Amino acid sequence: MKNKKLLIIIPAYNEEGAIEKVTDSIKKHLPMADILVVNDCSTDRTGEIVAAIPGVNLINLPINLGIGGAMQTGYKYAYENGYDYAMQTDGDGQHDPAEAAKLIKEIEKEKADMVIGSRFLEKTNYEQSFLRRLGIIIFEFLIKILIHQKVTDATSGFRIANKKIIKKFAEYYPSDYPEPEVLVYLDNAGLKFKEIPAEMVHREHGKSSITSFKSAYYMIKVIYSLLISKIRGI
Amino acid sequence: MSEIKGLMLLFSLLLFVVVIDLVRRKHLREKYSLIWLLVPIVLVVLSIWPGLLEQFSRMFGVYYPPSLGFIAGLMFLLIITLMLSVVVSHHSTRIIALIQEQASLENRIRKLESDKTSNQKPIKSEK
Repeated sequence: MKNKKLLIIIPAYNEEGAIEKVTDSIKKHLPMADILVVNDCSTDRTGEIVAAIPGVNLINLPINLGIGGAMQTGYKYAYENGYDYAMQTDGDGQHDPAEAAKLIKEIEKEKADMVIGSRFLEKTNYEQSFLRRLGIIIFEFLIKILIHQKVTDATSGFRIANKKIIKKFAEYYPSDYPEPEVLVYLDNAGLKFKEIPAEMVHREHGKSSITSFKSAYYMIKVIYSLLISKIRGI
Repeated sequence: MSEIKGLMLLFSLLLFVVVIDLVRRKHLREKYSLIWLLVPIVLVVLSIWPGLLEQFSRMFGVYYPPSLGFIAGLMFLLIITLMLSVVVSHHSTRIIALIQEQASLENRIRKLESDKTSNQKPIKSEK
């Protein structure tokens, strides 16, 4: 990590209960990194809490944009400020900063433009429902067909990207449920990504952005976006 | 003049006046108003020359002329709503970019101000 600038992007929506723990943990495990919290117009005290944490950068979105728009804000910041690497994590403590070191190590080998922390590459402690597992299998199959690469955890939001990808994401980033679609977008652009195993813990506070009611819509939307992204070309 | 014809002319005139007035009061942009002005013009032409619709119907092999009117109207509305969806999508893309830019500027201002107030140290240059 010598002479390299790393930005940790944490999109946060109503994470007042978890956010400080997340930033503290990152500071402890990744002292060389800059931290940016993108507060996606939270209705709780997330913004106030983050503003009071020393050494943490805060961007307050005046209107709620959703995960895609908030994440892209972070990538635009990384691009404008010349960061070499940008890592995205969740604001709810799902991603363990101790695991982040593995991602950094892998991206520094410069064999891939983006490294994804996967829950399913090896047997990890992560538990999930049958339906969720089914959805993941469908994505895996579809992505395999579309980009001829096996991706075991397409929805993982635990990722590190190099300069090339930061620039690409500053230009365009999908809006809702962006993670799987991003993979096709990057493949179209001829950029490489690879997965490494990563442990993730269950969310401590808040809920997943995907509720059971929305999951059917979620599946259809993601499949549709993947196909559109493929025919879009670039 | 049949009653329906009079009603059509009245409606067309009303629509025309309403559209012009919306543009005048800047509630509707000229760009989007032109297509709406087309509607009363077509309606007036059709009520003055009722033979026109019959002629068109024969041309397309439609036996009942009003049904041609219905289908044309429906198609017009479909196209216009599709165009509006495109406009809305275009706007949301632009609004997102604006929000992000505004938030990023707010972040820079906050940093500049805190640098200035805290012990007057020179502003860090960002690379």
